[in-house]
Amino acid sequence: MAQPAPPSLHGFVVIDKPAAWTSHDVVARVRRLTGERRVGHAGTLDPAATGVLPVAVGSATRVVEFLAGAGKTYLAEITFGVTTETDDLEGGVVQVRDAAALTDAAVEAVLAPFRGEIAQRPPAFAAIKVGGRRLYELARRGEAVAAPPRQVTIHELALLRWEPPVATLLVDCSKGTYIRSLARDLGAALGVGAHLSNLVRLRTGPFTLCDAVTLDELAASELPRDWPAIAYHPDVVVADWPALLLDARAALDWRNGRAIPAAPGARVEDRCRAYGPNGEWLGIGRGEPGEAVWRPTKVVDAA
Amino acid sequence: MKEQGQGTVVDGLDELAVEPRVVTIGTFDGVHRGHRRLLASAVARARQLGLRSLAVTLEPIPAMVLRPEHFPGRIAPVDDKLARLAASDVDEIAVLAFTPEFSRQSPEEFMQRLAATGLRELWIGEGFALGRHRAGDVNRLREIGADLGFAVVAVPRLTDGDEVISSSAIRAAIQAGDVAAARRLLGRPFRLSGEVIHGAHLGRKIGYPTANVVPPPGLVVPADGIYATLATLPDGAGPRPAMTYVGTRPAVNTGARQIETHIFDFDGDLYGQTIAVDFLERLRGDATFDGVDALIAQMRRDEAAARAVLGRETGAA
Repeated sequence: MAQPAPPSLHGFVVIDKPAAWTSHDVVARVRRLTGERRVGHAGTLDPAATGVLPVAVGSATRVVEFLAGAGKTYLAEITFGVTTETDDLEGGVVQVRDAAALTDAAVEAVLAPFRGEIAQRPPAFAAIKVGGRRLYELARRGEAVAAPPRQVTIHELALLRWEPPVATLLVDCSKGTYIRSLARDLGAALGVGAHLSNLVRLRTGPFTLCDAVTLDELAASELPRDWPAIAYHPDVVVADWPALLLDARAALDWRNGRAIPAAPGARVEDRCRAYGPNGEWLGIGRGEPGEAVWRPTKVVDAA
Repeated sequence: MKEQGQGTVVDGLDELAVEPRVVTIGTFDGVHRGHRRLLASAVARARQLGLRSLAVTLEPIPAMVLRPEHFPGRIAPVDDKLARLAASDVDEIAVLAFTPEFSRQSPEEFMQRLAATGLRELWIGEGFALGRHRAGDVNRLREIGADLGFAVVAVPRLTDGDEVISSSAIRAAIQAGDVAAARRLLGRPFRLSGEVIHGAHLGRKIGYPTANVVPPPGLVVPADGIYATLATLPDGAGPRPAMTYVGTRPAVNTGARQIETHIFDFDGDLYGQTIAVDFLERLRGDATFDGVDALIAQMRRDEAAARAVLGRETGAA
């Protein structure tokens, strides 16, 4: 007799990515371990880097974009005096300068202009596209293309440890910030060059390394039984949005993509998350103050 | 807190093998967002250096011993703290008994004992200080480290907007009834757990039966009033929408502070069982009513307000 299909798994599982794995490798592994087709990660972590990689499973993939836009915290080890092709340890050395005279005071002083909103040029070897081609593909073919600078915000940049010529920095930054670029630019500012020699992501949005599980721990768990103890509810990434509580009839309208009239006197904000009469999550929507309605933009299927 | 690989909890420093370590130390009451950043940093650093990680914590919390009359109560019980530390990816957790004798040690004496475990780097919050009159602050610990062969790394305090995240700020928020702020700083709702005891059964007579728990001794108690809460029962089901009264119940007037939780759409006998109550939002302060009808009318309004707060919290994963 055929086994009944296992219940679908939905939610975020926070993986502590091992070194030498690509973020895509982690997604493929989670897909196999959960048996869920819809799996995606929030924010690429370079293969050499370790730490927090939130992975969206099932209906969480519908809102993963809101997590990819979240702030991140890193513990970054930057080695001064050595410049590499990739601004990390992956690429070959292109320049070596004597950094012996560098002091912690000099490193501390150079950090100040990098705090706050800055224009940052992505590394030559990066996954972003210029003219439809990935930068690293162009760079490998020797077609040096300067990616346009991007506006990023570095909320916090603290020198925690200085063991010449290696600095350990705590970096809290916006989406889109390249720590490899930060290493390159700090090295240039000090005139000796630098590369990122170790990177651990401590936080993505609400998830910290303290919340993360290893792939081995996920593999050792029994699914779906252990899922609630391992995964976070998909709505965790939109928890700050106003909540719309719908009765059975309104929930049906929502599921069918129909606009929901706002309660009399209610403030219609630009976005919302919606729940059914039993607290079940129904997805997210946008408010239209002119019409005094809430319109579903992403309807999630019930678990 | 998700279940995962567990760090080992040991009593004191003597059981630890001598191995090169990254050590972090703190009271870690509540294991709030700032603590979690410090722990994550120390774990990440130990990984970068290929060393073991150790979290050292003091129990009781020093202020409970040194200034009990000024201490508002702890954010979470010891076992909760140790479970969170164990789940935070730290390899080992050492619990040191904080006694008046312990407090009389000089920072040098204490750091010699800690250095003997193989300490290479000490990771602390920037406001941390050890010993009487905060003699062992970051600068003093750096001097001691220079002598004993370890480095001291001070991690900046984490802020939420303009607010510094600290255990004392969280305790103050809970005491003021601002459990929503406490939740934001803590990274999860404030929780009271306890065994359900027999109360005055007043609630049942007016259609709002309650599960009454004795607050665990030593925990900070939210300001008197009515709260939207989630109650977790030992039945393994998810959190249930509820509202909780905190106060001295003038009508009953036994003098002791009551914590009475009415769980919506639930009618089971919970006496003798342990329940956990998560505080999400304060709905109003405590009040007296002219008669039972006025009380019931107010409880209906409270229920509607609590359900509106809670509807968004109860989706099951």
